[in-house]
Amino acid sequence: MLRDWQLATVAAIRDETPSVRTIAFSLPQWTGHLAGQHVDVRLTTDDGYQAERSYSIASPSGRTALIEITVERIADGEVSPFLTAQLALGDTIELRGPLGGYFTWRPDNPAPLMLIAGGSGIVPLMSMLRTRTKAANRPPARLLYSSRQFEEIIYRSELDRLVTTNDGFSLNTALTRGAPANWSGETRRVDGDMLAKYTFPAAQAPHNFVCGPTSFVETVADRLVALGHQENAIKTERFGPTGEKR
Amino acid sequence: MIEDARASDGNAVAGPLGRFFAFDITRMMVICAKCASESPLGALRLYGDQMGIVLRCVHCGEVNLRALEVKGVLSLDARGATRLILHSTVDPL
Repeated sequence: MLRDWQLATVAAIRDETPSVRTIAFSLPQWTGHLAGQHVDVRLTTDDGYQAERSYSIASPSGRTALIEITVERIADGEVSPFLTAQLALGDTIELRGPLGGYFTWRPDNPAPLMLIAGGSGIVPLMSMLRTRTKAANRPPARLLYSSRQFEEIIYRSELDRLVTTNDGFSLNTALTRGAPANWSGETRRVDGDMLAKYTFPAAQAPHNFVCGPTSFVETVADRLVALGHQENAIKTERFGPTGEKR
Repeated sequence: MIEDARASDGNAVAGPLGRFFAFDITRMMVICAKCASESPLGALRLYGDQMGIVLRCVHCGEVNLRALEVKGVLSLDARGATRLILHSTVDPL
């Protein structure tokens, strides 16, 4: 694990939704990462003021030449407006990582993989799905993804493609602020009934990863415990409204 | 569970606090001094900012760990935890 700041060069930029952008960085000293890990990004202004934020890695695990982060623009944020609007190809920024060993998943883990995302909480879970897709033996996996609106679903086309591969992955999406006319998914916030319907039963001993805003994660984790899951089979990552994470 | 939408969690201190340690601290198990529950540091509730870090028990809200960094010197107050349990398994990658 590299604990010092290193210079990352922007190698590619891709818009995911009107307010979410994926940035690929080239890192000469990158030692590889696990799915679920994050990096810290540090910006320094001309007068020396520094701001640090954590962003989950979106790309699959391993010793890759590039890593990707996916960033949601927070209107009054200090870092995300810069990353999503001003940072350009070839620019360099300071980055530290990979970081965190708790909220991680390894592809040799045979337990059913249950992923539950709220909004941009999908990012580290997408790294897990992409890592799974590259693996020789893929455990069954399900994603329950809550978004405000259809247009805000991050990685929508890639997720739809993953479903069609029929490799044991299934996707259920909930929209909380209105849905298109032909929408066949859920149209309310994730609750206990929805979790009972779409998650692996506790008897199958799945590993559950929950990521999203604090209130979302608290609700989901509580309901999973109520459904009989062991607490150590529920891994959580939360971000507050002012945390500007991801 | 403690309800407070402002908090994030211990995952976020892997960088700022973790740089003082030779192992990944987010997997360190923390035993709460008040309710005796056992949680990975990464799952604790995080308050504070880059200078001062407060990590609270998810179950009872007790302050398990306080960390203050001034000019590269870390001061760690762990009186809210009766035990810290570490695993010697290799760090990820």
